Formats: sequence, C-alpha cells, structure tokens
Amino acid sequence: MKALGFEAPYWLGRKFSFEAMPPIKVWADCLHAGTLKLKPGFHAAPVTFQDSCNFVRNAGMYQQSRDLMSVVATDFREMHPHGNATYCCGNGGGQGLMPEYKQAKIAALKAKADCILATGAKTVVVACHNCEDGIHETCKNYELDAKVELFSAYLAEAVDLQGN
Amino acid sequence: MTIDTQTLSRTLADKAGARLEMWLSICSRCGMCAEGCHYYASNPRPEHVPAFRVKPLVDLYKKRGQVDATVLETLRDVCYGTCTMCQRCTMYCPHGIGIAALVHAARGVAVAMGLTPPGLAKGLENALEFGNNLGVTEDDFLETVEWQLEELQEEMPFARAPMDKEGAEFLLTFHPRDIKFYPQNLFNYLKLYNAAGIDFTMSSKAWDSTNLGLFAGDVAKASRLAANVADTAERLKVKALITAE
Amino acid sequence: MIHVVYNFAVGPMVWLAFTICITGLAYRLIRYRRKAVAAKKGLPGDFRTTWAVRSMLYYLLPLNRTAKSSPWSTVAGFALHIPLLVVAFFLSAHVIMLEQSWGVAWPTIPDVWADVLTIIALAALGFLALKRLLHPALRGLTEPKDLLVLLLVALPLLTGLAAHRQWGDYPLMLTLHVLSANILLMLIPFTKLSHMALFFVSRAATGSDFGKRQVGAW
Repeated sequence: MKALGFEAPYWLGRKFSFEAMPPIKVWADCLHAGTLKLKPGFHAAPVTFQDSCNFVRNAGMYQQSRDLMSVVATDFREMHPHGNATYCCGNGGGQGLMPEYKQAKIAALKAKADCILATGAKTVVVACHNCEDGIHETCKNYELDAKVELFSAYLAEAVDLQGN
Repeated sequence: MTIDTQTLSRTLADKAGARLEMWLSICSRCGMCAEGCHYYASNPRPEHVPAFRVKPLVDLYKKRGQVDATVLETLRDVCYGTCTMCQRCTMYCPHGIGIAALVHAARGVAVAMGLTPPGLAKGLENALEFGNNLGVTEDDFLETVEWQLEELQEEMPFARAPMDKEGAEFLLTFHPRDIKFYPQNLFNYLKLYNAAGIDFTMSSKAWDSTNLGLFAGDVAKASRLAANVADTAERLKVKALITAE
Repeated sequence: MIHVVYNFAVGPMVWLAFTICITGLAYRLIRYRRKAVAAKKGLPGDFRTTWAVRSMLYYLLPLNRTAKSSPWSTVAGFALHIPLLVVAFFLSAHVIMLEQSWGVAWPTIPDVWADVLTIIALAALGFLALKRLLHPALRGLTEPKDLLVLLLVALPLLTGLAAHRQWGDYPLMLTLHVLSANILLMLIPFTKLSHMALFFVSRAATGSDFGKRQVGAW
C-alpha cells in the first residue's frame, strides 16, 4: 500500500491512472453501500484489532476498520493505545525477513503483548500479513492465550450468503 | 571489507533531498520520540530512542563518506535491526521529523554498499525474477485460483474469478503467501468480493503488490517492482487497485 | 577598551549578526524549496495547506501527543521559547535601541516582567540540561554540542539579567550580553537552532503528508 499508494508516483515520476486502495476501504464502502451483507454479531468471543501502520496510521483506515468490526463482533475491545497511535506489531519494515535481528524484534514485542493482554481478548484481528506474523510471535513468545486472524478471514466467515 | 568511497559519496549526494537535509540538521536529539517507539517501550535503552537511528547517517554526512567499515556495519545494524519504519515516532516528534524516511535513506546507503540483509535480498531477487517474492510460477498461480474458485462455488455457485479482464473497476492483488502457503486467504478474498458484487479482475502477470524494495531501502528495485504492477493496472484500465491486505 | 568592544558589538557586529542570521536562514529555505521541487519530478502538487497549518498549530499550542507523553519537557519547551521571544522583542531596552537607530517603536513590557521571564527561561534551560545529563536514555543520546547549544542560549539571558540587575561589572556584563546575543544570532542558521525557521517547514511537510491520509500528525 505504501509503495503503490504513496511512494511509487515519486519514484517513477508519473501519476497513475488508477488509485491504490486498501482492502479495508473497499469492504467498508461495500458495507456502507449495502452491497456487502455481514451477519451482525457473528463473532461472540472477545476480540481486539491490531491497527496496522500501513492501513491505519498511513492510509487513514481507522474509522472504516471499526465500522466493519462493530457489525460482526459483539465483544470488541480496544487496545490502549490504539488507532493511529497504536504500537507497531513489531514485524514491519522487513523484520520478518531478517532472522539476524529476530532477538531484538521479539524483545520489542513486549509493549504489544502488554496491550493485548490488558484487553483480555481471545482473538486478535490483523489487517496485514506482516502484522499477522508479528502478533503471532507476540502471542507465542509472551504466552498469550489469543489466536490471530486475518481481517479478511474474520469477515469472510461472517458473510451473509442469503442476504447477498 | 573495503569501502567503495566513490559509490558511497555518490549515494550520500543522491539521498540528500530537501527533507533529509532539513531533518538531519534540526533533530535536536530531545528524545521525546522515545515515547513513540515500541523498541523503547519494551526495552528503554539509548539505542532504542528513534533519534539514535539518525546518528549513523549524520555521522556519514559529517565525515563526507570518509569512514571505515565498522561505521557502515553499525548503520546497517541500527537501521535494519531496531526499526520497523512504522512512523509512530513522527507523531511524537515536536518538529514532525520523518524518522522512518531517514531510516529508509540509511537503508538505501547500506544497499548501495552491498549490505542488504540476505533475507531481503533473496526475496527481492525472487520478486524481480518471478513477479512475486516467493517465486510462485504463473501456472501455480492460475491453478491455485482455479482450485479456490471451485471450492468457493460449492457454497456460492455464482462466484467468479475473472483473469486479465480489461476495463474492470478493481484489480485484486495479493501477498504471495496467500497463493503459496495459505490459499484459504485467496478463498476469503474471492468470497468477500463476490459477495459484495464488485466488478473485479486479477492479473496473471502482476498480482503481488508487496514491495520488498521499499523495506530494503532499494529505490531502484522498488521502482521496478511498483512499475510492474502499475503498468498492468493501467493496461487493464482499472479504476482502482486493491493492495494486498 | 571595553567601550571599544561595546561600540563594535552594538554597531557593526549587530548588522553582521542579523545579516548572517537572515541570509543564512533564507538560503536554507531557498535550498529546501529548490530540492523539494526537484523531488516532485513535475508531478501535480498535492500539498494540503489546512493539514499543514493544523500541524503547526497543534505544536505551537500544547495540543499534541507529546504534551501528554512528555509533560515536563513540554512545559520546559514553552517556558524557554515564550520568554525568549517576548523578552527579545518587547524588553524596553531593546525597543529603545531600535527606536534610536531606526525611529520605530512598539509597546514594551515592564522590566520586572522581563526579569521574571528571563529567570523562567533559564530555569527551563537548566531543566533541559539536567534531563540530558540524568535521564539514562537521553544521556546516551547526548553529544557535547547538545549542551553547548543550551549554553549558547543561556549566555545572553544570563548576562542580560546580570546587566539589568547590576550584578558584577555593568559595562562588562552589557558587553558580554551583546556579544553573546550576536554570536547566537550568527550561529542560528548553522546549528539545530535553524529550527527557528525550519520548524514550520518540517511541520508543514509532515502535516500535509499525514493529512493526505486524513490522519493528524499530532
């Protein structure tokens, strides 16, 4: 998103004829337009949301993500801090592909682990593949009793096939 | 390691854009950015204050690239090893300094000096050769799409997965592991977009919108990767490109 | 002897100091502009003025995350900058000198206020210096020049206060005051004190960047 949405036009020196869009925006737009039907309150387990730096802090998808979560989750709990000020999942900037710095990365996940633990959530929904790994490592290394689920999976399970 | 001082000074000159020059000179090392960093929050040490990450770069400019290998190795370890470029610190900097952008520039220096971390370098190589960083072939991609579409059609008989369709409104792109390791993810995307009834297509050639060049700080390679996807999107005349989740 | 130095300091050196300060800062702004235009590669501009202005306001007023996360440093920051500017522009002695040479004048603050403000600013500088020396993480980040620059700002304040309060030798203190203030002015463009002008540029750039994504950079 960052590359194609924000940086690439300046790297390549041209304006694109298309717009780069985060998936969350498309889902939220379809939800608001009424074309995407989700089963209200489909997920009952306590859940929190990892705001990804690219989609939330850098692409401004905070409200859209909460609009979607509030439809499908009955027990949604915010981390503190959350939204634009949330702590990084720890796995951005290519950290997932640099095993030589893994120890430092895991040590730095403590901040996130504390945030997740305080919510008591059993599921952490993530909207980015890097976050998926980062939060997974957080839960594993800090022994949190929470599973990690991609936003797409979380929403896809709740799609109302009869309504669509 | 011997240092190619010519390449180094050329790279430093290339990277010295308006913002970099300004930010390097006004960073007061006040340390307020510390509150913004999860490395610092988890382990409050001086080297985990974001402003510290700017130091090796300042050093290089001050010494006009006349440095020994240890300085470059420090730069590499600081800029790749203690930062995720999440930009949270910028929100805490009174001057609004884009520390992530400076780290990105420093990584660019490391790349030019041949210090790209091997994991990133390998992924980049794959991305440039195959169009995706996990080296998935076109046949594998098409097969996976077909397979997941069939699965989806069992619960959604009307589901479609148009390939290389010109004039669609949206172009879907993925993270390569959605295809290689977790095809269920692809299933979920197809389910959501079919359920929403949007007019979308995929490209058999450029479906990976991740960009390891951006992470590595390798602007030349990042540009090639971005151009591959952007050219495809423009050729298919889509209105919007949906990036990988 | 001291009178010769004093006359030089309040005469030609003031001109030199202001010339260096203003042209230096102007050069930096022009250089920034030139490089920024080159980096745009002719793409249509998408600067978000409203977001840029908001970004500045949120930090010119204590309405930001940093004010909450580092309250003491924020207080020190305001306690340094406000007195510094108010005293520099509205001290009666400063305005009188300007009136004598250029014939322009504006309202001034009572001298007692100036004393109090100066002491507040010096206390703020002391706090910032101590924080640099005592805070474990900040100490690791601090370089000698970070303390020197605080001293550079402290000197005109200290000598100005001493001159007004008639501490020590008045002509000497006054001369040192003018000299140190001139040196401070001359060094502004070449040190991190250049944030005097570039603060606004940096905040605008970042504010606009974040604003493109509808996120406030504060």
